Amino acid sequence: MNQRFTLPVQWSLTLLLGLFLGYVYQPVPASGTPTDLPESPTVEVSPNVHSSTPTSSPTPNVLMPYETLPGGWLVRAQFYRAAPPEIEKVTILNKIRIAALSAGENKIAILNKDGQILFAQSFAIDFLGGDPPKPVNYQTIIFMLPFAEGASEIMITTVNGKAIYVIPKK
Amino acid sequence: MSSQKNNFLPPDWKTYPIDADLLSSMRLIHPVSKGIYGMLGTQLVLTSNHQDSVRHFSEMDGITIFALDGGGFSVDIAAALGLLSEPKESDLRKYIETVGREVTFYIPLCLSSAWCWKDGDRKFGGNVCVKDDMFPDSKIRKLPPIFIRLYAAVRLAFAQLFLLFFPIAIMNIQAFIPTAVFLLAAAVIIAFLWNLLPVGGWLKGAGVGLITGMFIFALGYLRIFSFPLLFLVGVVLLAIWLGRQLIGARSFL
Repeated sequence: MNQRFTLPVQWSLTLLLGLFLGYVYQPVPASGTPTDLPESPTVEVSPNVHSSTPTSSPTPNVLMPYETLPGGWLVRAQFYRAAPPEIEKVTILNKIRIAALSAGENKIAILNKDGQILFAQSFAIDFLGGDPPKPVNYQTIIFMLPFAEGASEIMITTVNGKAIYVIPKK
Repeated sequence: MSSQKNNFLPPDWKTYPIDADLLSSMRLIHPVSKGIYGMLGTQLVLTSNHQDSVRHFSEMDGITIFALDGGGFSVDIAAALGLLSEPKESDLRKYIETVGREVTFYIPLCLSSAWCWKDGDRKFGGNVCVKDDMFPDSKIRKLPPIFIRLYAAVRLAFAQLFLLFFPIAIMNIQAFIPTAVFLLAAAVIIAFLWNLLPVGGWLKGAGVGLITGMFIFALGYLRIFSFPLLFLVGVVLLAIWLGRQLIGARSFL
């Protein structure tokens, strides 16, 4: 049982072991399967939001998550554990896809000049960051919002307060 | 003088020279054939079959070397790993009879402790002389055996990693860091548990492999692998292989 090998035999077997280890180590892919996606909350939009499937119905239609739309706003917002949110940047995009967000008590909305909601989406914030996740004091979230005719401002409402971004007139 | 011309010489008698290569002094395991080296004289050094040690004594006048099977490790490491057992009485008596004069057996302190041979003792018809400074310089000689084992295991693990790097790089370079972590962890565990684990390099390695594997399993680290059980097998194999290497190697010749 304890018969020793010669060094060349040992080296050869070590190389074979290395091939085996290189083969068996396959990290789990970082992205999850489609079934892992969070349940998307219903996104209600008024009829005058530009959708890839325009409808003449006066009742609000529903934008499906990951549906490509002809244009919209990319909103980068910062959320704090104990302070009102801040809208850091709003960028116009030629094409957007509405992301599925976890349902929560926070809300992002597009309003017209009368304060009427043209588009709204609820979302949750978890103040966790890093791997493994650890509590953090602030969190940055990027939203995709569709273009809406007559949009005047973008408003984010959280339990700590709200942030408003006035959309510049063309 | 050759073994063919003298019927009284031991059958495993060897002659010099022992050639050195550039890496001779750096190699942890470098075995030469076990047996008696040099002209038959009254000063017999008992050491391991490490190439650099044997070559060291070959440069000293009037010294005969009895290279014991230490797996090609230096005498300090082989003693700490428990690889050097006492030479057979028949071999030493045969040597003394062949020489026909009083013989002194020179041993280092580590073998004196391992075999309970004290300076001035009479063993198998010869005198024992414990003489540490006669042996090649070694920085680890003064350390307790457990740290010598740790040094040997970690150094061997690094040597293994050097070899493992190439096949792993071919297959999947991402596997190198976990392999390195597991191998070094296994080296530390095996060094500390060497004397408590079952006899034999395979079984010691298997024991350490299972311990390391259980730790990894308990930490939940296996979840990040696509083939967790297969990778666990890989970790156990790695530890078994390390344990196997820590019993040394056989001379190529």
